[in-house]
Amino acid sequence: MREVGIILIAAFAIDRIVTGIFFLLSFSPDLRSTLEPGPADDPEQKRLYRVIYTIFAAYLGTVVFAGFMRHRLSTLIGTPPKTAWGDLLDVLVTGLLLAGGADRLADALKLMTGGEVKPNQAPIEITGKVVLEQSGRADAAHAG
Amino acid sequence: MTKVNWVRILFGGILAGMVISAGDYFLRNFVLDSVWKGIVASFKPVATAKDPVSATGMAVVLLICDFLMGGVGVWICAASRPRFTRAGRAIWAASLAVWLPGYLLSLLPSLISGLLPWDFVFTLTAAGFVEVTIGIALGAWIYRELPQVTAPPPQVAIASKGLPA
Repeated sequence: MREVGIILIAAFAIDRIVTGIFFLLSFSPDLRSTLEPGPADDPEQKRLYRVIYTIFAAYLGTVVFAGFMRHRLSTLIGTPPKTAWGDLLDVLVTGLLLAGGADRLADALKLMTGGEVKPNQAPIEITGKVVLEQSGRADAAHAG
Repeated sequence: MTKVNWVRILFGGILAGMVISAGDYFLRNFVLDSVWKGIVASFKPVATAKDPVSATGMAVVLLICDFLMGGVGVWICAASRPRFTRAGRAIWAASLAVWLPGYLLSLLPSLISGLLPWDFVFTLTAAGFVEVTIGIALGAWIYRELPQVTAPPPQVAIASKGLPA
């Protein structure tokens, strides 16, 4: 349980750091549409935002947290790797876990705070057939 | 002529610095780990006089250097982009401008004087060029120039002839 808590806190910290950096950079009007895409924005902009967020979170998770700060999955579990390849895999898996966790946590935070997480923003489309009848002519035909 | 977009240079520089520092981290800790530790140990008696550089301090200094290299590289790429016919050439030129003093020229004197082994210098400089090029390419992908705001033409006073003063 303690290990899950540490991973969650680290993922939360990564999400907050990335969001903070994006918030500061979004003061520039040029970067605002890229770093703070709204619900009405182009899907291409949202995809670009996703890519940039993932790069930032993966860097912080892999290099800073798992690399320099040595908060690694195997250390938390209590089975440190024996070889250099195991160590490398440990850093990569921890970074992946933290980056993915930060992404999911960001969505969960938006849900909890009532933010806009609306996966389907497409307008409602109704298909069918509409038959229009002109009542005046129909009445006249009946009368004649 | 368009204006240089400094915010995009900063943003692209951060991205480039992240790529360069991630490459450096994996290079020093996994590829060149044993060689690096040997070099540090050989200099340790000199460094431990007052132990001025700790492992954390060294990591922070390397991080700052990597982010500076990324920022300068994206800046050079953005500034030289109008001079080249293709964006790829500007990326190559900026990578060379950063890599040459940052990796090759800084490591060459140590290699010639025998302080560093040649395989270490070769691996570091070769991998350094790859990570600098990828980082600057990523920063250049983000970079967009600001459109130039054209001022309205100044009012020209027309001198009238024949009218009484």
